[in-house]
Amino acid sequence: MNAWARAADLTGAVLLFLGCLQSLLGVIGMLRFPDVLSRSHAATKPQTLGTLLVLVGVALRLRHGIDVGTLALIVFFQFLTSPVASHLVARSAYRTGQTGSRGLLRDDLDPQLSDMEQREE
Amino acid sequence: MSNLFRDRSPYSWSFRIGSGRRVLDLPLVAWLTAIWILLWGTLSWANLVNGIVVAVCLCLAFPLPAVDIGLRLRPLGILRLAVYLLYDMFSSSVEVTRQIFAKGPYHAAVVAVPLRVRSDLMLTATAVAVSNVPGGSVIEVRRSTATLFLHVLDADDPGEIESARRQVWRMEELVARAFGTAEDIAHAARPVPEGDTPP
Amino acid sequence: MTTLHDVEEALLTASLVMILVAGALLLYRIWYGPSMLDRAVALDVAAALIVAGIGVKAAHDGDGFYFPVMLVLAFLGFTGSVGIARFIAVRDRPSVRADGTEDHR
Repeated sequence: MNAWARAADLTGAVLLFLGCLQSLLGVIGMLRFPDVLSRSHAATKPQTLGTLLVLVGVALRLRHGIDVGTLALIVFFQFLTSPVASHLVARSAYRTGQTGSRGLLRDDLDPQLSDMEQREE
Repeated sequence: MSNLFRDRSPYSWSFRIGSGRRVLDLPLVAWLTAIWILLWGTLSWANLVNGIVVAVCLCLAFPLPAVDIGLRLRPLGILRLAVYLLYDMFSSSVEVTRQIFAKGPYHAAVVAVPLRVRSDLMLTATAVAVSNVPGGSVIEVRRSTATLFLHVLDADDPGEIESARRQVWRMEELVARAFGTAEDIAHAARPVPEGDTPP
Repeated sequence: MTTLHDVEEALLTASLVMILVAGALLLYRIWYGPSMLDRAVALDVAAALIVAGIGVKAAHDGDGFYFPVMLVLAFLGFTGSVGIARFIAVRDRPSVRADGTEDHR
């Protein structure tokens, strides 16, 4: 076991630690934020970064070609699919009026949606 | 070699089988084979051959319509986009973490950002990429006017809204340079619509 | 050599503990909602946490036996919350307190 392998192992462990810390912070954000839209902020971004760090850490510790390929594929799909879920949840939350108890400071979407409803009638 | 990627649609590597609409799409076959091998977890000739057979059978059994969605792969642009996304993911996570531990109350806002690109693929790719900018999550996409509606946390500061909009436009340009046709890049290079009024 | 190994062990154990704590905190959000959409978001995060937990285990054991599980979770983990957002949440509102304000616990 040479120095490079040891360094890669240690770096991998540190990245795993940071990734899990990031996931934990994201979950704490989910508990602290006051409404669904803010919570979905806390859910998507720190989670994607946390998963990325964890998987890079695993790749550094395993170091087989095919495993690294699988991990890259996992990162790719995670990155591609998590915005889909967060967008649909945010859209549904906005349309059911769950935008927080204090309301929005500025809302560019509301006039456009009302316009469309009037046109449909 | 780079010409091969830059100026041709991946869909030009497909051929028609028989007279029907069964089209063998080589990039799709290669992609399916790669996933097959990664799922088996060992790279061997048997896996490779089996993967190709399964992928070809799938493509023939469930034909997809041959639509040119206007995808081009530009290696340099993809690299730049990946580096920027990585940097952006770090900064947006730090930002969200700061907001988690900041004392409320938060005032959020929904902001309209008109995009300059028009193709569906560019719109989708930009929306996916934007889900990672600091304090922006996409609520609604209006296809007819190519407008994204973002939810911005911490909108008390008017600079925050403006910087979120700038970031979307920057992302749009990077996405167009990574995946877009020449027309998309020309669209994305136009000056941003100034002013604070929604379209 | 052994100290380095100990440090790595400690880091991996701490990672696993953090994932477990995060999962436990997430259960609170799933339990109290208050709306179905909160649970949908939490479901998404749960999938990401499972992927991270399997990752820690794989890094500890040094084998990729569970990688297909991670792959499928990353691939299909979003379908549950999409289903909730699309079909259930429309009929759903956060519960209202006695004084008329919405309950944003």
